[in-house]
Amino acid sequence: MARIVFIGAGRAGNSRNVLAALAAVALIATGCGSAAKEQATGPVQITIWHGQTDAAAKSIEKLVTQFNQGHPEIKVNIEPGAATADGMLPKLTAALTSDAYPDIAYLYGSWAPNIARNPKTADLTEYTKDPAVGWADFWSSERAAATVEGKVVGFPAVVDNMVVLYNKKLLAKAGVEAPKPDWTWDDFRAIAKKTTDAASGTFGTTWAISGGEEAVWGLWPLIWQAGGDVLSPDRKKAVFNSAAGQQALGLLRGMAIDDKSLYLDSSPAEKGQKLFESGRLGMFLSGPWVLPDLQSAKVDYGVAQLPGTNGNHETVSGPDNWVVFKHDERRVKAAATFLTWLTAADQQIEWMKDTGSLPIRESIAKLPGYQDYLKKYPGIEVISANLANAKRVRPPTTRYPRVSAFVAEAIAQALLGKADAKTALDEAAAKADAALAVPGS
Amino acid sequence: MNSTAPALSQAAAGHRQPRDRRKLADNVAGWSFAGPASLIILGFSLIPMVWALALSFTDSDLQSPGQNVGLANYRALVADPVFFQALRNTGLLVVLYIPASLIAGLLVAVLLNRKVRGIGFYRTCFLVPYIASATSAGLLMGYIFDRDFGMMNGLLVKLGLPMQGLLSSPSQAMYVLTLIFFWTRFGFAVVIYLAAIQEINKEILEAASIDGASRWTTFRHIIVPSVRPMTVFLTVWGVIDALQFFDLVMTTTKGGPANATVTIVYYIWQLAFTYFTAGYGAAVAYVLFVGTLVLIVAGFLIARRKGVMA
Repeated sequence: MARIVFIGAGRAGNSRNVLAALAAVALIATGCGSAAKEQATGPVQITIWHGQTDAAAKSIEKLVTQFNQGHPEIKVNIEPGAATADGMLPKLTAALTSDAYPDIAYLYGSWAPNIARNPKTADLTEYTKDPAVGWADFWSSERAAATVEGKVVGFPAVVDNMVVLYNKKLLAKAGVEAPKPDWTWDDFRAIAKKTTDAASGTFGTTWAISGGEEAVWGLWPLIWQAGGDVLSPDRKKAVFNSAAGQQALGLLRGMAIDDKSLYLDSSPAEKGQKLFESGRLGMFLSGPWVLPDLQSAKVDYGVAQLPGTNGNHETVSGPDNWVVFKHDERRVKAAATFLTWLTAADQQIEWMKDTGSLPIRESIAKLPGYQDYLKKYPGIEVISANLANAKRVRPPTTRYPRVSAFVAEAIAQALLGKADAKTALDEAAAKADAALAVPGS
Repeated sequence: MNSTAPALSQAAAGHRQPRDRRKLADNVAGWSFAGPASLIILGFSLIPMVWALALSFTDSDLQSPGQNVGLANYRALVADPVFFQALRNTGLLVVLYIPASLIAGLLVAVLLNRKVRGIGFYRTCFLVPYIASATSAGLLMGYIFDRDFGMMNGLLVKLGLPMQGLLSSPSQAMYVLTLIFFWTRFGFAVVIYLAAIQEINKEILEAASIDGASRWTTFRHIIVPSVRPMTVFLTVWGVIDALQFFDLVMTTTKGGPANATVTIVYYIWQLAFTYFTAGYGAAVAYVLFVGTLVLIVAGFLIARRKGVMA
């Protein structure tokens, strides 16, 4: 085999043949490129990559059809772009490199600082000043997540926040009362301990120990509640290893090691949700997106805001965006028009009823349809009200993914009993400081 | 292709055709055969290789045009503990997987090389894991090797053995992944060895049995030497396959717990698409590329010296 490779390399030295081959590649490349050329007449064609699955995909397709019928001057082409929202970033990065990118893509808010560095990302700041957009009507955490260094890169798409879902039957069986709105970390720990039953394979709750963000984002609200933060205000230093951080991770470590009430989920496949659906977890920290699944699994669930400390029940919010990419000014304008329509209250209430998403605008709660929505998703009013507890977002820096990976490692170390909370967090903070100190981006 | 040109052009001269035109026709015919494959190799292998090399000298995030940083990525790599952890994890996989797949592959191939009823079914059984998608295999195995709810620990408890950490244990997770990798890939070694065994001249085997050779002697002195070229091929193939291990990591552990199952290619993916440090990722990819090349060339040189390959 090796020989074939070397002979091939020798033949490639024949420069004329190589040139011919290169020319052919160039021809093919330009042939591909011309398909994306600007069209001069007819409706403006724009493409949206939605990254949604199941009910959400159907809902967005329905809305796009409605838009196309009502707006003959714009034709929106809808594509999934990626099989899930998780997979959107690699697909989009490849598409941007090869100039085959969409006009609009659904992207997690935590990617915005990096995406904003791409010269093909559009600046929508001017468009959001249009009164028809109602920019101030979006929640402030959403506006923060869509804005990078003063530049608006997209429209808010979905907002969520973390709550505690509990299995009413399991809690009753264990003889504990359902969480009250003013419950504390101690209550949380006690309920988890009481619902744990090794004999029947039941755990109080679960925590991810895989290497991903799913292990990390639930720790931040606990740290915030205790008065700590993720990074220093100038984002140059990690501060999550403060006393607040140790207290938060210490709580989880105590539950995992001493109480054995935490099921440690090492898989990225959301096994925790499956276990909650099958009645093996007393409580489950998650967001509104699981409600449709819980309903189809016929789980008798309740919803509570996060347990607090000193009366602070702060939660974490992860707003996602419809980010716009530049082809030409006409298409950016058409994309802004479409997104203004899509994120307007009338369309959003449809989308919310189909998917169980939370209101992305304050004014939606005043619509008549809002009551139907609340009825359709029992417990959603708690999650919706919990938006008021979503005061902060994860640090909007290009280095956040790296910092998050170090913290994920620390969480796994602590919950598996390989290190105490302080050692694990100090080690992660040292690594994060080194990563934050590298100049550039 | 070029080596045949003189002979053909002589023939062309015999037919009094203009030499150049005939040569052109040959060139067109030749390239129309070789062209598509060459384009694929050029477009999907060589150009990206050169591009990745250029990328490894920048701080590109694939979003904005990166700055040239010289060898800084390669220098950073020397001090990166996760990179060395990925090297160790991948090395462990290679060291365990290669001998296991060769031994198990050959033994199973010998067992399957018989005329028994339904042998086709048994042969298929060993190939099914190889053709199953890594996603389904990963999800399935993720459930089987779960610490608290998995069948594996259930079995251990039934046998009166202590429960293990398995995929939740930083010290065991990589071994579990190696086992899963072995299960999904060793069917390939079985097929290759089976084909090679069936190619062995029946007369030699008959002669051996007439001379009173035992089964073990036949295996040791006829089968093992006869399939040696396949052993070299499977070693090289297995090393490449193991060094590029990625998909099962993605679907079972995402590199966790605590980086216990980060492999080189998974780390490259993280660097490029999670941490937005594609330049650094390209540098790691190049180290992997050069390392793989050195291993393979060394393997062929050793094999040639031992006279296995002509």
